Amino acid sequence: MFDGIVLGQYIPGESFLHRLNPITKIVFCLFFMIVFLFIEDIFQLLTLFAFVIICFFISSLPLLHVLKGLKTIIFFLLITFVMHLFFSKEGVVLFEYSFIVITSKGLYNAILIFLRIFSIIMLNSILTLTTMPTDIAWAIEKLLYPLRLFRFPVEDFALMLSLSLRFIPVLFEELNKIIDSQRSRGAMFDSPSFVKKIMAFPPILIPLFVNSFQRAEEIAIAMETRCYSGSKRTHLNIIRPGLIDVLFFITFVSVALISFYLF
Amino acid sequence: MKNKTRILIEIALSVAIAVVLSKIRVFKMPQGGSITLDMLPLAFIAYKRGVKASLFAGILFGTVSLVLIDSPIISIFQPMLDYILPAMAFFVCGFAMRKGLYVKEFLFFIALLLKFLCHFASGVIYYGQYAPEGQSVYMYSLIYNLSYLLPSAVIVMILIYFFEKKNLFNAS
Repeated sequence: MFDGIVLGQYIPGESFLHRLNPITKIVFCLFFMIVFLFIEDIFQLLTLFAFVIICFFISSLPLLHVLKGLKTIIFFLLITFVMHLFFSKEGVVLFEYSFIVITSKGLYNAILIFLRIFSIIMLNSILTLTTMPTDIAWAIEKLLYPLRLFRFPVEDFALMLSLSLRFIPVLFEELNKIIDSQRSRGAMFDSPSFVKKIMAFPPILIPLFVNSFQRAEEIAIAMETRCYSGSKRTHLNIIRPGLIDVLFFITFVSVALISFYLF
Repeated sequence: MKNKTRILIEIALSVAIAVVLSKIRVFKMPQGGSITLDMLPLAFIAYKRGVKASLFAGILFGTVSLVLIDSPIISIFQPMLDYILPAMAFFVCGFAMRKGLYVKEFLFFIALLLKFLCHFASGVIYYGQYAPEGQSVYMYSLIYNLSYLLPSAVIVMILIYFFEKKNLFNAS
């Protein structure tokens, strides 16, 4: 029940995509996702799909990890594929056997939708597998800056984002400690009975909440004594956009444009 | 001490608790949804610090779950409906600050309805757009979302009772 926690899916590496600025990667993902959602032509889709596959090979990620991302959605993917294949009645009939009828239009749509979902998931996997969660958070912070115009407190939000990412492993360890100490007092957490299982939660969760809110006060005092004011934030490691970011940006925009004008 | 800094950190820590709890499966459901307790910290910060804090907690929880994502994104605004808006639904609980247990439970139920509506709409709009015409996605989305939301909500409501009994929502 309480075994292991996996945060993010980052795989360390030295590839081109690993070294890219996280902002570039997020913009690339968003841009391609929008493009994929609006394309209706299979050749355009295939061109862009090839580009995503090339990106995947550049990143030198193990294929198994990307396929793992598909695990949760594979059922949905297959169902949509089969439904489009068998339930479209338009187009030329390609194959007929008793009640199974496959039409050209059905096959076309099925492949189109399969490719579309597959590439979008592939893009997301490439982003999350090559970028550290803290870097993604940093990029989100930078991309949110325009929201300051609407008086959204971006600096405070950035502080909260990095704090909570930092404290997830700490709190997880604390939760495990609490569970161990309650176990040593004779608490049972693996009871098959539903009521007993629920009654096991308050002795774990109440100390967790009380401890973390005490800790919040301590952190707040520590920050105030160091003159935290919530205004301009500076970073220890600054990631600057380099030449490769510009090159990559030009490449993916031109690939998208080429696919639009060629077909 | 300024109270603002403290509230910011409380929000950050409750979101961290929510993420930790969302990774722990209480029960596993047959169709893939699992029962987790991540609603509890979001309701907790709302009961303790009010509407504004809980709205921030919601946006933050949505963003953190997007950063640590483990389920695929299939459309542009789908993460909004699947992650950020459902977590923001708990702002309703903020109106129960310093109110009795019954008000808290009732407003939690309202928040749950809002959260359910977000997930339901996401199911119908985004997963529905991939289904061929003529297939009903309403029923599927309804059953799937209720199947994990209702049991989690029942457990969280029981836990809210225990927290209230220990007077945790009002302690400073």
